Amino acid sequence: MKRNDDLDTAIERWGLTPVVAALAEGDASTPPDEVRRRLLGHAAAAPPLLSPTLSPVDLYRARVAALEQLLDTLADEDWERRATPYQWTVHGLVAHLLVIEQCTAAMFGLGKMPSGDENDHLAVGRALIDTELLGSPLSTAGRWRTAARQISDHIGSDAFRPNAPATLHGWPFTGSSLLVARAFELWTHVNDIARAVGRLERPTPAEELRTMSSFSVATLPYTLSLVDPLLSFSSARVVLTGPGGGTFDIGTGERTTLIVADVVDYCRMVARRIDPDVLDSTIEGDTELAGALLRASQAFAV
Amino acid sequence: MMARIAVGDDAALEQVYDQYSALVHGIALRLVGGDSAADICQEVFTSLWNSPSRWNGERGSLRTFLVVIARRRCIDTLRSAGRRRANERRAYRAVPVPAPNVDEAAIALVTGERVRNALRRLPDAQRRAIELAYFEGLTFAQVAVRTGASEGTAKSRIRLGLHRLNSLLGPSETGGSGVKRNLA
Repeated sequence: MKRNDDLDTAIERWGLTPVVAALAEGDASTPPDEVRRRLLGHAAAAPPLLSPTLSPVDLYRARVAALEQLLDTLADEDWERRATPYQWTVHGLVAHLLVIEQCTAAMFGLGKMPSGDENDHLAVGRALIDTELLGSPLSTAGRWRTAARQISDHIGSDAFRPNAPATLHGWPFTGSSLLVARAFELWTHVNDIARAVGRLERPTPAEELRTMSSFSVATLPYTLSLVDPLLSFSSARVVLTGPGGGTFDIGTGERTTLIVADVVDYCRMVARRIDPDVLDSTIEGDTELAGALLRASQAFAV
Repeated sequence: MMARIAVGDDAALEQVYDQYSALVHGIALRLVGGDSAADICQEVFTSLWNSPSRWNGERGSLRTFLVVIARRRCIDTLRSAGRRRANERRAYRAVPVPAPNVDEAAIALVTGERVRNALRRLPDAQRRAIELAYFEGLTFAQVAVRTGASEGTAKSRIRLGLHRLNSLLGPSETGGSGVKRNLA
């Protein structure tokens, strides 16, 4: 009901809301314990509606589309700009992505693995990259697009087996998890290229961030066991704030650490664009474990 | 903390509840009495959980937001139930009880005393008008009737009194220009 004749409505107009809040200070009174129990019971039973996740197929396709859109807008000189943190130019980075699409296609039985050490993400297909750099950037972009579309077509077909093993660079992915990892890579390189050519990074849709961050957090117990096998781990809570974020409890048993960070910052850290030591985060509990988890989150990135 | 609540971190809700529940419950206890105070306290924090985006940090502290929400719910309850008269009598009988958190309890006691002292320093007419509007939830028109003044005069007394309170409470309570103690 709209009121216009009482203090609570008027104080906002008068800019005196804090004064009225102060008047309440002297009345503080502990509520009955049952209020707390009922509230927390409600919170557990009715978590807030957060952004949905995308299927790995839709996520991959969305990230391919985002890179296509960006590449379509590049000027001739943009292709020669350095794409940090790599030594490559934007042209070279797109050639690298062409190589990785070919690796991905090979895992799906769609072609041959490029030459070079297939367990080395940056070294594989080096010869192909060198060849591409001798030609036109637009031709390289065209070949990357063709390779990505071949994968898009395949993962939308009955031939795609989302749960079948799809090991890439030595990581034991499944078909679905490989697509999420690839989408993460495409997201990272879209931002790399945008920075290289002086564009503002376009906000990533919440459902894409949520899908990528959920995947990353879910894999933390596994990557932690690889990065720091001697570290004891029972349970942790990771809270990623902002659109696309969420609250994740990983492991079992007593929770020993809490990590809170912005979801975009977290994804950047996972992609090694932010160092775990400088990530703007709140950590409570076992700080050693929290640090190890953050480092482990970068295991897939190079 | 609110960013954590927005993404479903119930531990953050627990911390906010522990920090502010005594404040919210105290308001409800004074305005509607014990029967409904616990329900209103729960409703305020449930609404915070269900709709965290209603709080805008640029417009004020979480403390102030919760106080405003609690008062609105109390006054709606009073008006819808037609229980104002009974609760007007109850209002001055409510006895503050220390908050559960020691720091919060200390802050509440000290601040409460400062606020009461500041109220005592107001001219009688201003203090009475504020007491009726704030502690009893009366409308300006009802304050006017109770004090025998016109509605405009009642409203003016409240506004001047609050401005005076704002000055009296000073920077330690107000963060410089008025009461603004942001613990959120």
